[in-house]
Amino acid sequence: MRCDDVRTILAEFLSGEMSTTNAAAIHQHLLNCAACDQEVRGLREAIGGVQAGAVSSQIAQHRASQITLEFTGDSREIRKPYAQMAPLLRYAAVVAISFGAGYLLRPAAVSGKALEIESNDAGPVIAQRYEAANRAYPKAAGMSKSLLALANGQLTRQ
Amino acid sequence: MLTNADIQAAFKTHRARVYRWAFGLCRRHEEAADAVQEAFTRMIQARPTLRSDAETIGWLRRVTHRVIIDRWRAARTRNAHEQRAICHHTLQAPDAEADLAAIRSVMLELSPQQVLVIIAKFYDELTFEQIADELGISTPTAKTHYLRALTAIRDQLNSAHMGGIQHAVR
Repeated sequence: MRCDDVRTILAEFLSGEMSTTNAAAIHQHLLNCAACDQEVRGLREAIGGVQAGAVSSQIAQHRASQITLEFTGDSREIRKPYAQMAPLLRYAAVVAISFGAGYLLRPAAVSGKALEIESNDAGPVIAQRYEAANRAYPKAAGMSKSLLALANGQLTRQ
Repeated sequence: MLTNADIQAAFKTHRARVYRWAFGLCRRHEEAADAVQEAFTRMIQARPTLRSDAETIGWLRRVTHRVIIDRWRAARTRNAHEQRAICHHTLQAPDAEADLAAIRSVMLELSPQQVLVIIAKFYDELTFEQIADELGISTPTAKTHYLRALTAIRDQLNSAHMGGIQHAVR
């Protein structure tokens, strides 16, 4: 076995994940190669340093049993206070965008004349509807009559 | 997304394991216990979607490592003067303390994956195949991380010992 071959399988050798045949071959190489032997000794020392921090499962279990965990409410909600309102906000955004787009794309935006014609035509119709609403519901509030006038010209009193 | 009950169950099941990792890195009970609490607190805050036990362990291992590194870095930044005092003390301390300081120092320099390989190898006793599977890397890459981390630790230990010798000579 050459030095390069040893380095290729050094991780398995150091961690003990190696067949006894290969391990024996490496041991044999280490006896004859001072450089590789030195390398392996150094790495074993590093392994010893890391393993010094290992505690057994029983000790870890015992010590960890003294650790408690406190749930101080749902911190996700604290971090995202608007999370529950998200669907409502989304809906509001869609409505606002629709109104905005409608406002910008209205005929008046294209031509000021169109609005004038429309308002001239619509004005008397709305006024007639308001009168009809007033007759049908004389005691209703002005806002209600306006809404009725805008909503539908066909007023029927039950 | 994990519920409070899921996290409570994960805490009971895995706290000893997380303690082992934390203690392996810190070597101090109080520090390890704090790291365990903080790791699970981060789980409460993040509420990750973890489908299996293996995913939970992998997530906890990454977070525990991050918690400890964050604490070390914060301590180093917060009180550089104290750190200098610790280093000075370390040079005069027994070998075990010097080794611990050297290992801490090198852990800050290693890549997260190298540290995770070391934790999984030494404190969970996983095989390279298991580590590779968990970290989503190839087995040769896991072995490379293992050897590079060990080499870095060896070099740091050597320089710590040399520093101790030089200090003793002075």
